[in-house]
Amino acid sequence: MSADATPVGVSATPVARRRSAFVRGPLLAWSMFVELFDHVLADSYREGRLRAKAWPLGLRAIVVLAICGYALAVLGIVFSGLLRESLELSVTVGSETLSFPRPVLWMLLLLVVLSMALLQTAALHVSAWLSTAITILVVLILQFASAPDSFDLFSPGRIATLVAGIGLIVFTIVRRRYRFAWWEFVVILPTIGIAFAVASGRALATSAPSGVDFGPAMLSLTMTTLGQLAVPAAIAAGAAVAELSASTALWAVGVVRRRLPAVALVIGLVIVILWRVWALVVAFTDPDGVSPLQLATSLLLIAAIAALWYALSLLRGRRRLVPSASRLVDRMGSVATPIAAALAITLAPLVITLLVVQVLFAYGVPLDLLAWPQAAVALLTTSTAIGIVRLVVGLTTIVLAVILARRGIRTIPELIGGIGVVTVTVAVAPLAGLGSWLWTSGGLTAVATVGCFALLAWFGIRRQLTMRRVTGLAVALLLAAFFDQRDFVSDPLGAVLGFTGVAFVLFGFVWSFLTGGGGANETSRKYPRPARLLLFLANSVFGVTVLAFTALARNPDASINLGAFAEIGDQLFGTGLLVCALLSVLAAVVADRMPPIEGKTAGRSDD
Amino acid sequence: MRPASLIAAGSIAAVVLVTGATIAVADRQTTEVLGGAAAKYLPADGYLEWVLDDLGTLRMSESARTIGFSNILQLPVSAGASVVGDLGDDVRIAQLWRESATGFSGGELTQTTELHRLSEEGLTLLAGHGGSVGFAYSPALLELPADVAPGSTWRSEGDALPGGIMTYTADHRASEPTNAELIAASGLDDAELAACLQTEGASVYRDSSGATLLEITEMDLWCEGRGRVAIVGTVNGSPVAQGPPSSTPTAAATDAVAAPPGWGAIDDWRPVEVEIRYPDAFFGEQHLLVSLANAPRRTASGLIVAADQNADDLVALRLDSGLLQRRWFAHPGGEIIALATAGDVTVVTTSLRQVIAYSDAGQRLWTMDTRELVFAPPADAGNGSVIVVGLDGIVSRVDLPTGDIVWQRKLAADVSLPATVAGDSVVVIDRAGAITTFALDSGETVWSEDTGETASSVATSDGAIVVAREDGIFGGYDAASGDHLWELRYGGFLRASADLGDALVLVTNEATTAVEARSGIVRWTLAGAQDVVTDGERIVLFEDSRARLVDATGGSEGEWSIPSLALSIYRYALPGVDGFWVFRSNQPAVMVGQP
Repeated sequence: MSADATPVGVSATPVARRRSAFVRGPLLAWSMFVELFDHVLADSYREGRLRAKAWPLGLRAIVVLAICGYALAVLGIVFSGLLRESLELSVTVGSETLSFPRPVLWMLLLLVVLSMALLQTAALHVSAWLSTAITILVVLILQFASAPDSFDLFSPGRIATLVAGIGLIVFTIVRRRYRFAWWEFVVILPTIGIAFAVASGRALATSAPSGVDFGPAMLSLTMTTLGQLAVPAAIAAGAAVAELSASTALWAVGVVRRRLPAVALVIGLVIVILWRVWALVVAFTDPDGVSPLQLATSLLLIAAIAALWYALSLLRGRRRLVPSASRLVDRMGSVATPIAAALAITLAPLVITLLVVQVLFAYGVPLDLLAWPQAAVALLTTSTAIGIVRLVVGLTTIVLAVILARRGIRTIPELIGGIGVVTVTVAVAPLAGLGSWLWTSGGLTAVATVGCFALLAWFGIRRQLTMRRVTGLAVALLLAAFFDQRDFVSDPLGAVLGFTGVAFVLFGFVWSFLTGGGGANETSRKYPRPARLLLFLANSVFGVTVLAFTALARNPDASINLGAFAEIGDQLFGTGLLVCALLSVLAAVVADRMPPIEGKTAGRSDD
Repeated sequence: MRPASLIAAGSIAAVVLVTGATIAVADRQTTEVLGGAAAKYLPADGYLEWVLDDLGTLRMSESARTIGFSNILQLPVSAGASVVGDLGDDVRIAQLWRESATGFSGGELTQTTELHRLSEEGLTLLAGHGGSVGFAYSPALLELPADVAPGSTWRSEGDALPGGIMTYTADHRASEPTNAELIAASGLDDAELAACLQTEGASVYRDSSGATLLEITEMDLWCEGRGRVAIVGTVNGSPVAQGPPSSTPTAAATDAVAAPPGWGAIDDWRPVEVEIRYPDAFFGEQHLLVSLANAPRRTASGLIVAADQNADDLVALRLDSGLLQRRWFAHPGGEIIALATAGDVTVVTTSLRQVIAYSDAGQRLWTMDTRELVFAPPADAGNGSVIVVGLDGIVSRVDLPTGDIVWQRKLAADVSLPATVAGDSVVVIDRAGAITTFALDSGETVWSEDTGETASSVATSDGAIVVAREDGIFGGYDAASGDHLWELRYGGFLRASADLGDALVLVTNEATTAVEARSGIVRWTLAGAQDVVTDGERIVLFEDSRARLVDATGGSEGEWSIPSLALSIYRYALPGVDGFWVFRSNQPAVMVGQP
């Protein structure tokens, strides 16, 4: 027995008790923090990370290589300021000044090549249509890379990319009937890489004696043309911060409820109430705050999603069933990527057309013959076309929610239905010229806060304010508070990076990379595990490479402004998630049920 | 690990290394610097050397290092044609060193230029102009052979002007620096002389009949990275000497303030095309092409300064006898990213991460090194200083005459918009949308406001600032307190703004709106435009091919045809004393009124 120990049956002295409390307090706080961290971050990683299970020979080495490439791009972003300060900058002055640390240019080219090789290797083992689409894209990119080597019609660079392109097509046709083999990547990477190097090297060698460094311009052109392909990842990445905010709110209340006496939860609720009161005062008094119109449309949005949920439950024939908030958060990662891909659907023909036009022009097709396809795809970039695509995606998502609900599936229909309603409103408002009518996130959290206060008062007056309801209201208010302040993750990161517009996307990319590998761990006949894994890696490495180019160029518009697309993701997915989570929690409050806020769904699924 | 796994991992690692190395090697297509041993004596691009001659004339010698046509096209036509003819196809890849010397003597400004070439042969002189005699060598005069070293001797001869009008013969030899007079002129100590080479020789220039026109004996001190640091010799028997001055010259205080334009009656305002020229005492008046990627600016004295992308020069022009005459040109080094004027001082930012100021006479006043590039044109603080905002968010108030930093602050995010001076405050908006206002005198933060939205422009009027946000909102703020005064939705993209004292004219491609800066009340709205200039009371709106004078009430007073924007690579408007200018790349300017 240690000297400090108190003998059994003998009361501790007041001093010893105070000392004990002094030690236990911080220990408890620390253990609660660790638990919160474990559930919010570590659990998500554990459930969504890539699992080296049943990987064929050599796949692990490819994954390690891709992770190294990913890390290299992230390091390039994090140290972009330092790299720019310490390395020679290549500067091109014009309507848009491009500056880039010249010595690291080849690394970005290598990462682009790595992404292409991962993509093409995956294409060997996926469905025929996807395999064809990917192969066409990769072959076109190769021809695009050699377009500047224009000294002869068939210059060495062009011959190299033509041969590589034909080789890839033949290789794809031959290998499609076989299972994944590691040496496929060993064949494809140098085929693409060396053709790329010959093409770019020839263009550089031709221009260098004239004192023109073609490298930065070529990289910029490549990133501008291909960068569009990173848009789905950027939109999906926009969901990450909202996902983390919601998860933190849910688990914070859960941990407090479980680890502390009930009075702590009441104190916590009082603190959150004060916080939200202050937020409401600011929102209603600040000229930049929430207008009555926005408040009304925010309320309408919540009502519309609630109505859809009610309809879905009727379809399912199980009225009382409302999905749990934690499960909604869990499902966000799996629904964000396909919806993001659908939202960016017009970018595929845009990129393909841009590539085809530039390749044909390089091979001597007159510009006036190429004007109409350019004009046609330009229509896809108009705000009207974008609005129509969003409207179609939103409506399709709602229809899909209905179909899934009819099949008895829960959670996913409610989540995608909510996102669908949000997407439809975002699409319709500008198309109808009602941009200023659109709900705002501030309006939504204000409505949620006022609603929580009303419920609190109602149940308080009726003496029905049970601990279950206190818990639910605390969660709802904390959800609103964290959603209001959801930049708490990306803002400090942005300050560290010293460059605007990257932190939010970077956080989303890294979060998706660490927690979004669930689909890549599964397998099917048409999409076997290695192909899924390679597609996941190609998408991840390419997205972060485009972001690294933007950061190193210190210009959000140097290629494509991924930050702007991540904000769209935040607007659509983040808002959808917030409203869905709030409805879930408030339904529990009304029904006087303990909101299921802690239970991770691992190992249990009713979807 | 199983052997098969090891083989797979090793193979994958190997192909990655090979692919990476191939791409890296392909990317390292650097241009080999020609000239052999002679190349090391050449200064870098933008290098500045002050020179004082025995007559007391101070010269500023700036170096430009380029490849290809650009500096050959800047030569007088006949000299340029001779050089192009001599170089043939090599003109595209000719590695050039241009040495321009600006002389400041008795208030008179002279500029001479020598164009050298680095080739397998060594360093040669292609042409010289700006003085009382001009040269265009064919073949080029060998100045330093590629294998130059103490003990080397060389000879060259040929035409010094096209058609054999003047011929030359030159004999030179190199040695260790030993000549006491030359060393004294250079002011260098023994350690510094270790990196120098002495050349001595004689050149004789004859006319087509063989009569001697010019006889030059000279001893030059070439130092690594500095070019010719000192010269002693004779020209037709008269002694000449030059070398660095004992101290770096300082320019006179520059506190001139530009008089605001005051447009009068417009009855005689007509669009007139104005050629841009430069005088040459020997070759005669020459046309000048100025390629623009920045808006030209006006100094307090009325000089128009422009950044010429052709040669990355700063060019100062003045209207004289119906022509825009080049008064001086300068080469700050690298590419000019942004250009601004403050009083009589011109300030440029360059791709070499430098901010450089020039006086109204073309004298380089100071150079400030920055950690990052500066995209935003420095802002005139109106009190003998400029506000420089780096891309990295470092805001500096810089004293104009000296280049000393008065205060410096760091913002949390990067900045590409210029600072705006509103009364006693400096307003800066970073890319994250945070507005920060510093006290002009102390640099203390007065107020800050995070709008959360990226801004595309900021303007000031009547003690208020108006921020054009990229989400289509104009936001009005009190410059002193930061109070958010009003918001106004706008359509299209903001092109420019003009201050009419109590109202601000905000021009987008879809609408032109006059807004009271303090209240946000819209006074009037017109069709959209591409640019605007003002004299403080009226504005000129620039549409595609029309300029329109509009009074403070929005009424149209007159309009003129101007060169179409659609047919111009860049088109810039510049207000003048009683009219305005329209500038385009590599085209004559258009003058309306008497600007």
